[in-house]
Amino acid sequence: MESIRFIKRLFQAYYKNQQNSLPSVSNLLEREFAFLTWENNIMIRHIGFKSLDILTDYLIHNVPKHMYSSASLYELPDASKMDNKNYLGCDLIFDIDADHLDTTCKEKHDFWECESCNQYGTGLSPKLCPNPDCKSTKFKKITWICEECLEKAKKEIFKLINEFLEPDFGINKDNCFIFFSGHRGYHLHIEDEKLRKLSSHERREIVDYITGNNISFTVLGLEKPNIGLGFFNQYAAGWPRKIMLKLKEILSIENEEALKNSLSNFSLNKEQIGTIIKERKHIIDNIVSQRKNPWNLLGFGIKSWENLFFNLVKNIGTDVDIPVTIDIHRLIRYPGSLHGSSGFKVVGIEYKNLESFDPFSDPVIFSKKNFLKLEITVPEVPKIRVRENIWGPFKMGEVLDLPHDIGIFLLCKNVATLK
Amino acid sequence: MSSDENILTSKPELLYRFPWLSFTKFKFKEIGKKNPYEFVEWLYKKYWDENKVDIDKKIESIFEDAINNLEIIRDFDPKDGELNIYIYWMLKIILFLLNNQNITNRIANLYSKNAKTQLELLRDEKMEYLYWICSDLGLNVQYYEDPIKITAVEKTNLSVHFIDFIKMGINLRDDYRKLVNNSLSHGYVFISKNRLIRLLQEYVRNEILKFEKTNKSEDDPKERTDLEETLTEITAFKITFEKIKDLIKSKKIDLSSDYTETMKYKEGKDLSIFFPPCIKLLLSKVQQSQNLIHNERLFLVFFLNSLKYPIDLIINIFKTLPDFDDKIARYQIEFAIKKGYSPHSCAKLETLGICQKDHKIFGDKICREGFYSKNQDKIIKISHPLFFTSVKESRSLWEIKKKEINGQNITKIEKK
Ligand code: SF4
Ligand SMILES: [Zn+2]
Ligand SMILES: [Zn+2]
Repeated sequence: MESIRFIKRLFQAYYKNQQNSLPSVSNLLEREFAFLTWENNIMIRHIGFKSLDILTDYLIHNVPKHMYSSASLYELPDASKMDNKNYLGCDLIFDIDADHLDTTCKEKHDFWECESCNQYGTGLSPKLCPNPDCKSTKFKKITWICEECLEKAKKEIFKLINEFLEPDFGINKDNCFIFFSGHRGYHLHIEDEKLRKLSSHERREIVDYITGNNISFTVLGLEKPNIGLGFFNQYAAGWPRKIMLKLKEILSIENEEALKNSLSNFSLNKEQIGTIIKERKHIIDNIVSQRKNPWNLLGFGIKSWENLFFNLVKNIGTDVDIPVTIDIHRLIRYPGSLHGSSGFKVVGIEYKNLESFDPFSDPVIFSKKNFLKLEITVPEVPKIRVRENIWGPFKMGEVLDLPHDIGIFLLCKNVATLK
Repeated sequence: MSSDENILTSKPELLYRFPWLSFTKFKFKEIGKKNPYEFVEWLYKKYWDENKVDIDKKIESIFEDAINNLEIIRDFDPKDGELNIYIYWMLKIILFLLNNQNITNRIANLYSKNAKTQLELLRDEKMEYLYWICSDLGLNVQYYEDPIKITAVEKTNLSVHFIDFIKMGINLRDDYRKLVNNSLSHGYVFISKNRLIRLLQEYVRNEILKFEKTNKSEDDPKERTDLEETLTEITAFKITFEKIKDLIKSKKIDLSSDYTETMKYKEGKDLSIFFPPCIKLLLSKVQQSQNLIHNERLFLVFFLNSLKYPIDLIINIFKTLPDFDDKIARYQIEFAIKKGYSPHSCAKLETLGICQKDHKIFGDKICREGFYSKNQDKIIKISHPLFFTSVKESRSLWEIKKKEINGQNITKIEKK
């Protein structure tokens, strides 16, 4: 409790400081706002604000743990029933969450702890507590962040913009608003009158394109390898081109071991890999030629192509969190607000600054000069960098004198209490 | 573009062929300005009285063709000139008055198929016309003087902005109109003439579907009755309108989504009352000429085929669908039947979004909760739609038996 009061005081000081500089979302008057409280995690929603000043005032007085505004615009954002809000449209949102990405670091830095005994371990929690006397099914999960997973998330944003939104959808990168969520990922918003009018169904079409879900190779021309693969060459537009360029890139790996290694990521068996390597020149020729060349290789039939393409597509597509994009009533973290599970700020990032953006430093707002004393309350706290300093790992019971920047992070992560 | 001049200004024959173009409202604005009463009165006077054109027959035949699920309007002739536009406007009025979803759907299907046929008559070198047609409809399209290759065999001069592309095809839901399966570049989808025409067909269909509704956000039944009262003051119109209503009556087409008539078959037995919710909904959609997605169609075919419905009957069911094409449908259905595919399991149907166990009207408790086995000792789940039908059928037989036994008891007592 005392920890919460302490964090709240610091959050409040931050919001006071922001009085004239809190960023505004576009169409502020038409957005619904929502807040999560510290005390009992209650969601307060259906709130509208007449101005940014009133909003900042609200933050100073109520100091929420989390703050959101709607991706949608409503005529009456504060109506308590969805039906009465009068929906006007919704920004196109993409969410990339490190939690959903396939990274190996999770095995190292995510923890579970049994709620009944003190058994704990790394990675995903088990179904049953391995302690034979306990066998509880309830676990506390501690998910962590590290350079690897947030870097991967950033890469996905680059991929989304540079390989999909700009070249294919013709959306200028300057019209993509990028945000660090303050914790595990990035959001991208596009505010365009026509896109705002897309239904949830219609947004799914965009998501399918970006992820490669529901692609049909038959429609794209993969029908009869013996007379050529329809339009599968590098001059095509859309997915056939992406697939072919990727395949060419892989087949151009000189070193045979490295090539084998790379091909093994695409669910091919030994013979198939052998065939491809043997025929690589022929395949590359087909990709760069505009002619309809035969693609049939011995022991590599249409099913094998389909399988290879399918796995290439998975590799090429962007890992966006699909429900976020197709939901037209989503609440999204408010820029400039603080994330209650990290104490980091939600930061808007211009594309040109994305490369150099440091998620372990740029969103950190608490002082490194003021200190606080806290005690670790979980079996293990993984290493973490805040600004230029690397902290931890820490063990249960350790009492530490730490600067606010890392201290608040640990308190917000709920792995320590104020001492 | 060879000229910036809108081709529609110099080629009125395009308007006669495609009366749904918005340019018609501009070109014939003097007439378009009239209120419905003035318009109808003017139309009969000009065509019927002065030129002896049987407008009734023209309108009636459209309804007849629609009710019979034909692919083209037999009586449609671009040479009729402006009249085609006025007939189109008349349809709008009549469909609004009828307020019959089933009829509107059928007219929309017929008319859009007719539009497709007319669009296909545009020769390849006239892709430019397609550009103007799309622009006229407010679609964001681009025209390229030199055709661009989109597949090994197809070229195109046109691309459509992805937002319009998605919106136009969203109800078709076949793999061809999915964005992910198309050539998207810099915001535009390069699209072949045929696929574009298919989307335009869908556009026309949706336009006509709107005829039934008022322009106001809320449906005011009085608006309809008032208009009907006013218009039927024009005797000629009254006769036309009555004829159409009679025609509909005689064809027994009404708002109901009752499919039992057609489904009675199965060696004399009426199995349709034992159909599971998922099938019932699909059949009612078909009955109302709503489109089915590919998976839904296949499922319906496999299901009916498993119950040994004759192929002609199955094809007949599909006749009401917006994009029905007899030859293609027959081929596809025969192919599916020959392969002997059986319908998916409930689990699969659920992932495909076809399961309807919770549907407001058709939902069924057995689907949701299963049922008790004969000795009441365990709950059996419905795992397959065919299983549903056989369970329902045997239960009903059992019910009948029970009744018979009870009935015998009663007579016995009476005899005493
Ligand atoms: S449970 Fe099976 S039979 Fe019932 S509606 Fe769903 S899919 Fe159809
Ligand atoms: Zn335990
Ligand atoms: Zn990590």
